[in-house]
Amino acid sequence: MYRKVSLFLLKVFIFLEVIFLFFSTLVPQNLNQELYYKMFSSNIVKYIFLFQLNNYYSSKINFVLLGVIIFLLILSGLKYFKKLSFFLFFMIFFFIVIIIFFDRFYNRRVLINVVEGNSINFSKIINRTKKIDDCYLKFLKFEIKSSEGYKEGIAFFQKGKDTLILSSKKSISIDGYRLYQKEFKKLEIFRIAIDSNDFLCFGDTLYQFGKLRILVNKYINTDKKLLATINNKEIELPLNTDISVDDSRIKFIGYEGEKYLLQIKIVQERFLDFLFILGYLYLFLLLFLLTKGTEARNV
Amino acid sequence: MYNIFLIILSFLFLLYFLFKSEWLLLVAGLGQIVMISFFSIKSGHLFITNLVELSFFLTGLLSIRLVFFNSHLPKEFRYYINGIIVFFDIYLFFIIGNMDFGGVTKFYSIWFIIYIISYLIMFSSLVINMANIFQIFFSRNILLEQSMDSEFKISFFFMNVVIVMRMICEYFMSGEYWSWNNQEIWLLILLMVMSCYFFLQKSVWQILFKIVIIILSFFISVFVYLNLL
Repeated sequence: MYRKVSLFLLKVFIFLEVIFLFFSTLVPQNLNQELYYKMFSSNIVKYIFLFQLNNYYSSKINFVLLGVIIFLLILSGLKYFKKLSFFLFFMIFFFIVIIIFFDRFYNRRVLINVVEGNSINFSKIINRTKKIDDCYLKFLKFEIKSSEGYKEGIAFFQKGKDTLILSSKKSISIDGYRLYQKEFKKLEIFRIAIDSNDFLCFGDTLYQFGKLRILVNKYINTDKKLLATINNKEIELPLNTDISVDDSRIKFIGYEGEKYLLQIKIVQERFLDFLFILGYLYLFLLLFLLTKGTEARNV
Repeated sequence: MYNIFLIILSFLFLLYFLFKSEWLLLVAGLGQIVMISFFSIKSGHLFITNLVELSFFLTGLLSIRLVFFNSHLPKEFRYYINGIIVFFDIYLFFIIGNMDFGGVTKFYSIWFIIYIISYLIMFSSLVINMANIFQIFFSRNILLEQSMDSEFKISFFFMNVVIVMRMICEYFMSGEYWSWNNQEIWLLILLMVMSCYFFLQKSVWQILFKIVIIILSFFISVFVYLNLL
């Protein structure tokens, strides 16, 4: 009896999840509330917020529905757990879900920014517990390959004597950590001094140095001066000239040219091999269950 | 040059209606796949990563499936599918001038090729099942449900391969196993709809529901196919 009920509920919950997923594809995700009122009528927006369709994939409704589907799937298949193949199939499925959960919450994920020509200490970033030699990655150069309307960013790194290529289409693996190219920007770089301390600044980026809020607007090459907004006041900074702003002395030291700023995502690769093996086993057992015939169709 | 070869190979599909020899299908299907492979290697992009190559690969795969297709269905069944292939090839030659021949994938790995090929096998099984459904309605032979079942199992298995490969591709490209983009959501919807097939039994109404699931899966997979790359 319980199996019939669980099978019926399973169909209902799969139907509900499919309906929710379908509508979620029609609604742009994670926008400001006001934008939804501009895109849809107020009646529709009411339902969008009620069913959390504006952020459906990390909403409680999605997690509850998926959790209930997995639970009912196991409940309706309990009868077949006596058969080794079915038991193994469900166990593998269960382990895959558990490992993905562990990977999401326990494997380290770090985002770092690196400027063309600079080096990063990889060992320090991944925070190794063992004492080993420092591993430096030098960001040599960055190239953009355009083909068929698609831009591919290719970053060249030096690790010891080796040259590593990190492309937006291809990640690289170093010592159990995988590096991904997230995004890149071409920025102008300036060197300024605030109260005799040197800083590197990027154009169009807001910086806070103590009480000073600095935004570099434009560099005028002919006059060798920098136009900046400091504490909401537009100020001209001639080269190597001290300017006093709100009790601080600011000096524009030099223009360092245009360089690429690369954002890299570093992800720990723990459990990956195990997950691969489980993935293959899952497919193998599914094939076995489907070709075996009669039992598979009733689950 | 490649276009001329492809036209000649497509002409073989038409000749099949006259000579009724499966060898013609096999040569045309394999020839299309080989030509497309050469084309991708010469262009310097990843194998089957544009819609033209994808479509020619699909028709090649379908014709090979037809040759080795073992079922209780009458021989005319092959003509329906071959008709679809010819229609699809003619359509491709009409639009070929306006299409981009470059590789358009954001993924670049062997897993992506496996993902695409698995999807095409799944899709070709659904196409064969659609012809199966037409046959069921024309001949009113409900016994054909058996061959519908076996074909659907192939598509369901390869749908699972697609999901696993997609997760692997996603991990190697973004560090996450599932990023909930529209393409992945439609793949998940497709998997969920297809999985409902296995809840159904052998009564007449349930077979009708099975047919509805196949038709629904087919249309969803057409939508996914157009946004596959």
